[in-house]
This record gives sequence, structure tokens and C-alpha cells, in this order.
Amino acid sequence: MSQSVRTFSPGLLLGLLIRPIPLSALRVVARPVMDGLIADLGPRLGDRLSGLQGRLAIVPTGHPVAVVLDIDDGALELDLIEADTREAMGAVAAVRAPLETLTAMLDTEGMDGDASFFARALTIEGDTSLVMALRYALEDAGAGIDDITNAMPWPFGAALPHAMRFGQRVHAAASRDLATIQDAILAPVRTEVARQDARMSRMESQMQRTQRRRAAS
Amino acid sequence: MNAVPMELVCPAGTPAALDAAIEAGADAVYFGFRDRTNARNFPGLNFSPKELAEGIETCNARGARPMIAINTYPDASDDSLWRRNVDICAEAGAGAVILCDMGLAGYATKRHPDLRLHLSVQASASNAPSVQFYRDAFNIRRVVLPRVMTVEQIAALTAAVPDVETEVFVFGGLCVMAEGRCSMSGYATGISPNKDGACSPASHVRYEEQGEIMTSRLGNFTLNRFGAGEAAGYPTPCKGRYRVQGREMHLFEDPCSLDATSLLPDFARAGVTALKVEGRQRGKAYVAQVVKSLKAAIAGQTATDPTATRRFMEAGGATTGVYSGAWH
Repeated sequence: MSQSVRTFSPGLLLGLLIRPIPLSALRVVARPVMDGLIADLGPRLGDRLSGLQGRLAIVPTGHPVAVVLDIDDGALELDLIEADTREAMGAVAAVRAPLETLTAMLDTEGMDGDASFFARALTIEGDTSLVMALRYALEDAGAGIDDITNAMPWPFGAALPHAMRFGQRVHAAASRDLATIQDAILAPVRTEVARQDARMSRMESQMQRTQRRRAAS
Repeated sequence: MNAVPMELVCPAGTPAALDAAIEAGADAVYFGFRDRTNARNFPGLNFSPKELAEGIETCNARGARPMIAINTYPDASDDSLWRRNVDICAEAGAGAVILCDMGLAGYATKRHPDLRLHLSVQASASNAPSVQFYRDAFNIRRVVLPRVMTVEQIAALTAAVPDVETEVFVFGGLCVMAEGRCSMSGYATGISPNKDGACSPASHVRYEEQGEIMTSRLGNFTLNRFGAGEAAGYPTPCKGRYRVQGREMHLFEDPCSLDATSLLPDFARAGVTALKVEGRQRGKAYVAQVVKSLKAAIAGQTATDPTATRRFMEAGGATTGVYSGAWH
């Protein structure tokens, strides 16, 4: 399991919350949004995906579902499937990253795909060229959170940005609280380490003094 | 020392990145065709002829000089694609064409005498006689210097050939090989960086996760293995980790990025005309942040967040490269 999977975040929490919901129900809810996205984004992708074929899976880490994009010489289809290994999802390529990383990559002020990859915030499996081509196509199309909110029915689309901001605030507060708890748990250990460190230093000093005395005598 | 500020030449792999570069304050933007004439020939990247002409128009309208990279070596049997692209640039009003092949330079000089020509880093011209030759034979107006020279060597070159401008890389991916002549990636993949335009083509790159360990491969070769939490890099053979005499090491160079921002005053004193940002394969966020940061540095201002560009670096590390003479 990648390091990023174990990082607490609102996205991970969302993944845990939707676990009990059957995939069929999620697909029914997501279908109109995905159709809206394809109708809007498809023409904007231009010919950047032309000549490319295959299924690419995007898996928000810790989520039970993956978004799959079926690319066929420029045409694009979207679906939700159960998150699994790349082979089991029938994908030639898979990208796994925390939901926050995936959404940040759609922001000019955020990280770009290379930076997220270098930082090990996302992983790529399979056909790297398909992942890169899709990334360039989406970026040039100006794909962003607005596209998702526009494709969502009212009032969900309008509520999504607020929910994301709320989630980020909760995440920041929870991270601070978690750090405080961690600090409290580790405090006795740190004290003991400091005590041992001081003891070692005293012993080293004593040894050096003894060696000097022996050398002098 | 230059009386005018050095020109900031910024990368664009897509029309969206071109807009981001201009928005961030680029003085010039370089980009290229979506074909083998481009040394950044990656799937989904670059400009169709129509997009390229529109990009040139956008640059000219917004006060940024458009420079088009046609910087691979044409096929021996057929150079028509390379010639066609030079013609498109001339007709669309490109501010300069960046090329490396002498045959193509000869064609451009004869066919489009008013078209400004820059010598690509892919020509690896790193000494005065070489630069003088390109100037005399093809009226080359600017040379993009390889990243293998010290600031002192650059100063000596600009002094020796004062009528040819020099452009140096200041930020981004670092290549310390003899550019245009390196075949290591081609050996591993069968695709030439110099003729097909892709060093470590993405189609041959694979990553494998085994627990916290990530292995990167190019073709049939394992190039690197990154430990838990270790920042990763793109698998080019020159940045691979190899076992040499029983010791694992980066044989040629570490997978870090170039950041020569601290040397800007030295470049100015050395007579450098333009500063280049590598990264046509990078996203809008990279282009916007790096250009803003460098514009501030050129103006003598301190960036509001000096670490803003650090997060974009390969393997999370930065170097001033060979410029300061301390790294080879």
C-alpha cells in the first residue's frame, strides 16, 4: 500500500463513508454527471487523444470505486467500477492518488502531475503514455472542478465547492488535533530518549577522562 | 554587463500553458509542433499547425515573442516535414525558429532570409569557433548554450562572439549529456531522442509499486528503485541508479532539477541575453509559478514564497549545475 493511502484527509474520509453504498446505486447517481461531463468536455479535448486507445482507471486512494475512462481514438466514455488491481479493472493504465491530489492538479495554483509524481503523492501503473496524453488533453481543455459542479444537478453542484472548503477546514483542524494527540502520546518517549542521551554523554565524558588519566600516568 | 534586463523565455506544451506563461509575465514563449520535429514529442502534447499559428498570433498580440522549436534532426531520406514546419513558422510570423540541423538551417536561411534563427541546445555548440561558424554560415542570431559550461566559460564565449546572443537554462530538468548526440535512451527503446523527439518516450516507461518501493523501467531496463518516501524522478538513463563495483549510485547525475536563480547577477555580468525555463512537458501550474518567481528575481525582487518553485523539482532537489563549477 502506498504511503499516500494512509494519510488522513477529507477525501479518505469520504471514501470510507461511501463504502457501504452499493456500486449500482453510485453509478445511477453518477451517470447523469458523467454524461454531462462527456458532453461538455468531449469537444474541448480536441484531437489530443486521437490515435490512442485503452481504458484508464483513476482511483482515489482509500475509495471503493474507480473512475474509468475508455479512450477510443479521441472518443471518451466515463464509468464507475469497483476499485481493484489494474488488471482486474481491465485498464491499460491506472493512476492512484488521494482525492485532494487529484483535484489540486486541476488548479493552476496547485501541483502539476509531474510534481505530484515526484513527491510520490500519486502512482502510475501501466501505459504511462496514455496517462500523460489524458493529462495534457484535460489541462488544455481547462478541465476543472467547475466542470464537475456544472454537470451536477442542483443543488449538489452549487453545494460542492462549499462542501470542499468545509472539508479542507475540517482537515486542517483535525490535522492539528491529531498532531496534539501524537505529541501527547510521544512526550514520555521523547523524555526517556533525552534522558538516555544525557546518560550516554556523561558516560562518554567519563570514558574520555579515564583515558586521559591513563595516558598521563 | 547587460544594460537591458535579460529576456525570460518560457515553455509551453499546450495552448493553455502558453496562456499561463504570458499571463505570468513571460517575455518570450517557446513551443513546437505535435510531430517528430519537436524534441518534446510526447503523446497529447504540443501544437497542431493551426494551434501553432494561433499561438504565434496570441504571443504577438500580447507582447511575448513566439519562438518555435524545430529541434530534431531530419531523416536522411526525407526532410519535407521539417521544411514544411519552417515554412509555417515564417508565414505565421514567428519571432524565431529554434533549430539544430545544419541542412534545415541552410534551407531556412535561403528560403526565409528574414526569419530569425536561434541555435538549439540540441546542436551542443559550446565554444566560440562553433558559434562563429553557425553565425557565418546560417546567420544564427542566438545560441542556446548546453548545460555543461561554467559562468566563466559563458562570459568568455559572449566576449568572443559579441554579435551572437546567448541564452542559458536557469530552471527545470537538467541534461548534462552532449545534447543532440546522446543515444542512451534510443539504445534502450529504439526511439531516437534526436530524430524522433523523445528522450525516454512515455510509451516505454513503466512504474511498479512493491509495497513502499517504486521501481521505474525504460523498455527492458530497470533504471531506478525509490525507497519509502524517497522523492522520485522520470526514468532517463542518465539519471538512473546503477550498481558500480558493488556500490549502488547515480552513475551520471542525480535526478535533481536545475535552479540557477541565485546566479542571475552572474549571468547578467557574463553578457547573457536570455534565460530559459525548461519544461514544455510540465503543466500550467509549473509554468505559472516558475515564470512568476523568475520574473520577480530578474526585477531584483525577493519572491514572496522562496519555496514556491521547490515543489516542482524532480526528486525534490535543486542544483546550480555546472554553472558554478562545483558539480559535474
